[in-house]
Amino acid sequence: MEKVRISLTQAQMLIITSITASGHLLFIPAILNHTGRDSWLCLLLVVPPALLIAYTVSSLARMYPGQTVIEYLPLIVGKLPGKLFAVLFLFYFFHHALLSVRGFGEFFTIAITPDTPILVYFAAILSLAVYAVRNNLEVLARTNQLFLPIMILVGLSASILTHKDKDFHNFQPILEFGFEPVLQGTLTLAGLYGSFLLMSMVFPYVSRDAKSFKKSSLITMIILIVMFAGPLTGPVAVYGPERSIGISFPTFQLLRDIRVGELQRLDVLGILLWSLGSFGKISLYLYSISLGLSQLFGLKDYRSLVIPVAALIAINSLMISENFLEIYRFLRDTYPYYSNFMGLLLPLVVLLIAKWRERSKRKDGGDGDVQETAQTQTG
Amino acid sequence: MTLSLVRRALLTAALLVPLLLSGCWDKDELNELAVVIGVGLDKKSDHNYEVTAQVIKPSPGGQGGGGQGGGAEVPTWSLSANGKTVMDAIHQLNKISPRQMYWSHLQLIIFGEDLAKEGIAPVINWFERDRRSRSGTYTVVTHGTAEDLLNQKIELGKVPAKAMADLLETSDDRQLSARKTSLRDLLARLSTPGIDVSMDVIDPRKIRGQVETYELTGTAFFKSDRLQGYLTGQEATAVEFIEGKINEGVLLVPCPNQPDEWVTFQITQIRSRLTVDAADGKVKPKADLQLEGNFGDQTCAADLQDPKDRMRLQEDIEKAVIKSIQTAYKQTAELESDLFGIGRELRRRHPKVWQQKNAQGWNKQLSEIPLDLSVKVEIRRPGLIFQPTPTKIK
Repeated sequence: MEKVRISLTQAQMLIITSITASGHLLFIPAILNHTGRDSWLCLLLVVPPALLIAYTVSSLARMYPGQTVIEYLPLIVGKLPGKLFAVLFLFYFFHHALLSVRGFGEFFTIAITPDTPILVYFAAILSLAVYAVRNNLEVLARTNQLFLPIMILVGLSASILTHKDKDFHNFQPILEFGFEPVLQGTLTLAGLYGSFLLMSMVFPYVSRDAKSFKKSSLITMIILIVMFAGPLTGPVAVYGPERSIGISFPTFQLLRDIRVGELQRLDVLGILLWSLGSFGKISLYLYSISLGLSQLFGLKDYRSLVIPVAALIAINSLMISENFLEIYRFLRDTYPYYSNFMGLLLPLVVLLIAKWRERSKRKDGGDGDVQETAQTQTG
Repeated sequence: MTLSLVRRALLTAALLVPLLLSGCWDKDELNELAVVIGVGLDKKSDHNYEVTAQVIKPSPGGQGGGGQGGGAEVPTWSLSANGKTVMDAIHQLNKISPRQMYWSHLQLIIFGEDLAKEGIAPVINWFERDRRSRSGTYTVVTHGTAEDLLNQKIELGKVPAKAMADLLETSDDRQLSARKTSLRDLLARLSTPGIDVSMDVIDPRKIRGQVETYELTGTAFFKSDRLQGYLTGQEATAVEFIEGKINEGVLLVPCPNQPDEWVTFQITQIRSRLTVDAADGKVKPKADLQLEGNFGDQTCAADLQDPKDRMRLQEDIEKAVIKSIQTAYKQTAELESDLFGIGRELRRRHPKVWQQKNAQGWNKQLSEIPLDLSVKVEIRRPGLIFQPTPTKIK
């Protein structure tokens, strides 16, 4: 096993990038479509499930320090079911990688360069990701540490520059159509936060003591929720609740429409934002899938898997759907249930089993070999 | 000397890289483009729209002080074509334009009167959908056809569409209060229930017998996407008053005690608040306006420093504002256009009442709803003189 060490801050920054990058681009329209004007309420309602996700992932990492989710799953649920769960989780990561590569390509093809084949964008972002991933998690973490502050600055400046166009009366009346749409939107948002599970592939390489994971995960989640406040409220405040629903990329549209004196046509900010973000996100997913696969099959090094996995991602992200509308509809209608099941429910079940095992082991007086194997591997 | 394998590989790679740099799919060369600066949309016959695009003619280098008097060549060209949709018409335009039309610098969209009366929703779709569109593009209505408006030769400014955009853009500096409806405002209003669109009207203006410039002739008001009528004169600024958007403006009121003489009041600040009360099921809209401004001009000799006269003048200004807004409101409400967004405000405050009223057809009920107005005017400053120059002859 490689001796890679990243700091806790770097780990937090990695997950922030990977959730906000396509979250801001692809998920905002889905949430707006469900909830429209009341979308900001989702941010409040999503707090409990989001914190539960953070708690689950960090608790598991704390119980099995130094191990990724693929490694400790067999220790919790048994060898064969553990492998099965691991395959499910890897599929979940893989699917996310597909969506985000495809979303990245579609964004450019729809909004910026319609004549350029989408494969060009897949190839560009994936070769960068391959290069970064083969250079180790440390490199990835450091690059992202450099990029994320830029992205946050761009995001903040966008929300400041659009402020003069915002009419906050657009949020009235609250809950005109009752609570149901808000719950739908909350479910979508919670599903997006479900990809926090990716952290379980990163935690083992954090140099800090595993005890600090729980607190930092909760803080990361709060930061993530706050980071969605601007993109969720902006389109409604600027375009009105009715119009904001039908826009393909509302947040990009906001950037396009910035006009402060001679400062206008800031499309390039959007391109910068989603290129940097997608790079971080896709690299992290590529890393996690390669590492997970190598651990699943007991390979010594994940590096040999990086290029094949990247090729699979490129091909499958083309095959994942016929057109962009299908992706949008998937994110809107299916994804909330799918992702909440995979990212929230499954890990929670795994955590409960792990807790129960730990307790029964304690009752038996250290008889269980499960915990023992875990400790030997930690050392 | 022999190169090592690594070096050879690197060299090959370095030689291959330029192959990739030869260009990209989406390049646009400036000398292959025709920059569209303004577009006019007209109705030709049923389901047939005419699109007139005004493009800038590429000029060969600097024109070297070539002011050849009044007959200088117009540096623009307007080309028109018909189509079932806007994009279809543009497709037809492409057949006659040797250069690719470039829409990113579109400044102005003009709706001809006939089209505006039939409804503008079918023709704005393309402007939203196309990735080159800009939501800051101004939208205006003209009494005649848009094609005709774009094909005028004007004195101040060489590019007609740009001149019209400037007419709107700098209206504040010229102490006018134009609506300045951008594509984004237009779409936001069209999609929001309980508020209707209004746009500036621009017409060609004849001076000394021939068209020499453009004129802002008022405000066109819509019901949904259909043109209902025009507000002219003082009434044209009613929406600006209600929305509190008048940054600079001028009001004409009679001198106290001398109805034939006039005082001009310059608005410098406005605060406005529209509230709708529907506590007992009856919709009661109320607008509170606070105006601040200065003396601009007067024809009467009266010394307006006297507080009594000033008070009276303030009251007269208040009355004038109320009259213009009420006239505009009556006129628009009769034609079922909710220009001030009373429905939207009702929905925000009393969603239940709104749903009920909306089910019965909100716009039809407008004419039965009286608008309560309260205007407060403060005259702050007299300019550089306190009173008019005392002349000996009275």
